Amino acid sequence: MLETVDLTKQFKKHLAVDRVSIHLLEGESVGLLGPNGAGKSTLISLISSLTKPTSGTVRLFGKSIQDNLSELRKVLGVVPQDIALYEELSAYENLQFFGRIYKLKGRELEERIAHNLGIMGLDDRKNDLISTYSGGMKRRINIAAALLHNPKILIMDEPTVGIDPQSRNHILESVRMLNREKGISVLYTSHYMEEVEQLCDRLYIMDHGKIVASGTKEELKAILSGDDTLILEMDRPNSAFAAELREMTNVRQVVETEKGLKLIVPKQSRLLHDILHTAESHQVDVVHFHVQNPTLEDVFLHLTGRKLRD
Amino acid sequence: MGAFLKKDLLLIWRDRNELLLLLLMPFILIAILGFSLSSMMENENEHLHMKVAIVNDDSLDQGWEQFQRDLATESGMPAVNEQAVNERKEQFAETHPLAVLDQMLQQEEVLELVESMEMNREAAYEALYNEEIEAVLHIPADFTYHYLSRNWSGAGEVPLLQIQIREEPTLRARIFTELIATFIARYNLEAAIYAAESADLRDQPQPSAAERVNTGSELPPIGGKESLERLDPVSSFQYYTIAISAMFVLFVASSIAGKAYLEKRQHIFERIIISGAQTGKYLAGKMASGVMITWTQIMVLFVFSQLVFGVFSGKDAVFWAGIAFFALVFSLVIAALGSLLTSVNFLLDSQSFSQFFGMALVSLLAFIGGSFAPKSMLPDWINKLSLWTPNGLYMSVFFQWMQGADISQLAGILINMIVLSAVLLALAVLIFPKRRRA
Repeated sequence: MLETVDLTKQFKKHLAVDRVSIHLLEGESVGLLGPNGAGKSTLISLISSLTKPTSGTVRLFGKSIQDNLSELRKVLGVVPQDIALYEELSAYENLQFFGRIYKLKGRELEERIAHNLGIMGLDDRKNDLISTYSGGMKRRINIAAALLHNPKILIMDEPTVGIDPQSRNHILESVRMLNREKGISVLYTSHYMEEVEQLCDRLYIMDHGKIVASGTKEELKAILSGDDTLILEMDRPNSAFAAELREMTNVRQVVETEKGLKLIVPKQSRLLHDILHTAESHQVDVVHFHVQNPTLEDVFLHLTGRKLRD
Repeated sequence: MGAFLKKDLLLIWRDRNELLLLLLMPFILIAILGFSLSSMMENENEHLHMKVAIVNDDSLDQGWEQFQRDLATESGMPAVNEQAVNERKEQFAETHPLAVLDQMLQQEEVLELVESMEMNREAAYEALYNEEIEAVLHIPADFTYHYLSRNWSGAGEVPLLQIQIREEPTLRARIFTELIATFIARYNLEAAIYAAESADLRDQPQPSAAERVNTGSELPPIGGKESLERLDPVSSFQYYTIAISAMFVLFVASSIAGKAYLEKRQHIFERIIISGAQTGKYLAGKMASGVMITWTQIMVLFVFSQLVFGVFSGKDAVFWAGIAFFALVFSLVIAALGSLLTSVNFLLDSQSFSQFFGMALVSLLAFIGGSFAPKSMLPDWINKLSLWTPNGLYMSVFFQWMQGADISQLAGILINMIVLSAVLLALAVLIFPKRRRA
């Protein structure tokens, strides 16, 4: 349905998107996972034709969007990362405006507005100014505005950043419903692994402008099938201890967490004894440890050496 | 475009700070400047009003008689046609320089400045010494005789008008001296024109000596006729209603551009583009809302000024229809300017230029256009420059309309304004950035 072929975007000295090829099939929900600065938003901008690529193409139904912009506009809905709403207008007025520039009018427009406000659970606040909304409510209207013209493809660029858990859950539920019940194809970008795991059938992992891995959740986690994730909880942080662990053979990755350390080690590497011995030499008390199934975050860590979220 | 228009109007309406700037501030300034400067603008003539004395030692009859005797002596023949001579004398009396001077001093505009009274020499100089009068205009004896002689033969004493002022002359005294000097220069110019025309008659049969004797000097009528419309003076409230509104409408342009840039920064503009709306439609929307906002602002200020200060009392429906029409034309200029500033903001990806326009250029344009100080106080070159500014054109149109100009007289300026708005809009469309390239 929608695909990019070797899409590249060079900004003066910065290569933001480097030969990215992704695709989205009809009815699919695809995640684009990556930390801040990975190039996700630039990729979205290229796909939605806001920015021209340096090279490569974006194809819709097999045709380049350059020849097909009007068709793209009809089928594509984009939920930007920022709240792209007029604060001084009410939710209803915002939706009415954006609906009208999508050439909707009259009864059809009114029905769409009412329907989308219903999906987002905000019909009782429709006449309140956006400036009076919480962050989560603003994000919901942000999504509602992108759905007015009944798009076939919905691109959501980090739609849950900085909002309360209740609003986040509501949004995730709405996205799931849009995908499963209405058949809208969703490209969902985030740096929250758990959201992407929850919503998406397939994933791309992006870092420094490149796609570093792709596949289903299971396929990606299988990258670490030969590894275990050890979670150590310590009485106090100790960077010298962490540094020494990094020097150890067979310790692939060491990441400092809130409560201690996370280590990625080969399965059955029997490193526990050495780890505890090293802890003792640094006078570090390991109060708890367990082995965890690899998460997508672990996969990202493994592939890039960095955390998804700093 | 209707969606854009409605949205922009709603945004302005709900922006209290913007409404204060566009409506309340100018209204307050009109009140302050109108009241504080009314004495300066409306009582200017009272400040300059002066008294002068005219000491007339001349006698028209004596001068005429003496001249006729000289003519008879020269020709060796007495005057043969006494009736004709008397008729000539009557004609001469009407065109006598002192009669023309008196007519000039009795004109309404001059009377507002100069109050002249006849006095004898002693009384006049005493009044001058006591600072009861500003100047003494002395018409010496034999003025008429010297005038006729000089006119007839080109020889003899030059007839003089003498002005006596105090040793340290006041501004009023200088004005009066200048007034008389201008009168003399004008009178002499007309006499020279007459003399040139008379020379053309040399080829024609010359009159006989008798006819020449009986012909007194006669001033021809002034060639052509020049009439100046008597314009009503402009009150300070009228002046500042127009001047301040001219300044504050300029802020609409920077406001439009500022709000547009905010749309870009908040990614609302991207949302608009993703929907398929053309950038041309976006700019057209800015244009439409600019016209509507500007026109409303001008009309509100004018109507409120009339209701509160009675600025345009007595003006009829035609006047107000003209105001509405001119406001519409000017709104096109401001809206186009706003569109251009929008394009510049988008091109530079910054609103610094529109902010600079709002904070600095508006004040400069307002000064040049006469929004701060009355145009009569500004040098000529600034007044000429003001006609190159949108607000200067605005003020020119409104003042002329207020003072009774016909719409046909304003057509040129109005066409200029329409052309200006077309040029600004074309520039705006040209420089508005297309999709970001590689």
